[in-house]
Amino acid sequence: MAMTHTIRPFQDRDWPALWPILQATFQAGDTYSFSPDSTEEEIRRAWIDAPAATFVLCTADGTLAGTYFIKANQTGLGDHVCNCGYVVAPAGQGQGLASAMCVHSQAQAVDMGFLAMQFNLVVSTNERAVRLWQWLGFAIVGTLPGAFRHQRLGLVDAHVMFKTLAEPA
Amino acid sequence: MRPHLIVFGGLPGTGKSTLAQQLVARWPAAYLRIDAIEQALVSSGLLAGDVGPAGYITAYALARSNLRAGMSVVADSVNPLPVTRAAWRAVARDTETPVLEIEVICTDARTHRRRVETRTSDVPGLRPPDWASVMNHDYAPWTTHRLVVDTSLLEVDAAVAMIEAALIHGAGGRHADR
Repeated sequence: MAMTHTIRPFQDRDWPALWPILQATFQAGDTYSFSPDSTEEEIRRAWIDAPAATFVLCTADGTLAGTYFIKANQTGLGDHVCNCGYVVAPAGQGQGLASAMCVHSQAQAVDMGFLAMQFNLVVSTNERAVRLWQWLGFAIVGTLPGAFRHQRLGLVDAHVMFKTLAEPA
Repeated sequence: MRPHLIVFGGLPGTGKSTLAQQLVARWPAAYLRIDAIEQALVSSGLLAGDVGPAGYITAYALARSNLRAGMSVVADSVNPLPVTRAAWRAVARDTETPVLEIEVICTDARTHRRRVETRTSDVPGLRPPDWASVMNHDYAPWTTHRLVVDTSLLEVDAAVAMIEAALIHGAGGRHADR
């Protein structure tokens, strides 16, 4: 069966374990638009300070293996739609952790009063992620031609993906 | 990607349930396990004799209702006969769902036998079959299109990766992504 894991709010003492995972992910330059040479301070601002909430996923033995943030995708009249970003540690990949975090984030979004979730830049060559988000009910509502500068493949398409989570009260 | 129907089949002890459960942990879906349905029917005490096709018929109905509600389904059964396989495909056809059929085999008989004789059941009340009854199990050769996974050659992670690749890239034959 699946490894048991816990998803809980980020705490300051998680950062030393979290930063290397984020750094490795962004340095690869194949999934997120963060500059591969972003500094620790820049990433901490983007992943921890700016979002409405940040969560971490810990495996049964307490190892931090994943994280996601949730924030409003727009201000003002667009702030009922949230945006999330997910990162799984290289050692934790292929175990369903992204799926678990996405399911968790959808419940969290509804709890926080969001009505929908949008991913702004899903890199088309990240086929596994595209398929997983579709499997979890997200639709590709548009494809941005060459909108992502993949560090190995050059300009590749990126999808905007969207899922309605709740009806207005 | 619309809801999918993933149909596992194979003799007891080949590793179907292990693979099916690993898959559901990665790709959330309703998990329909015939063993659990049949054991529940037996435990209910309502059946006079053998459980017969009741477990399969129940599973087909549950699969249809889940797929119609937009929920993907992973079906875990021996799926031993052309008629049981055709019935799963009919579920997919009726609900206009892409289907991925997977036959799980274990070509190394010693490994297969060891698994059958050492495993413990995780379905309460169910006593797993012994080697003789696995060998005598009704199981017609599978002749239609399916993904074949040999668990004597592949570790669990590699087998799951192979199934995921078929899901992601649509290598499952009639995997029409509309």
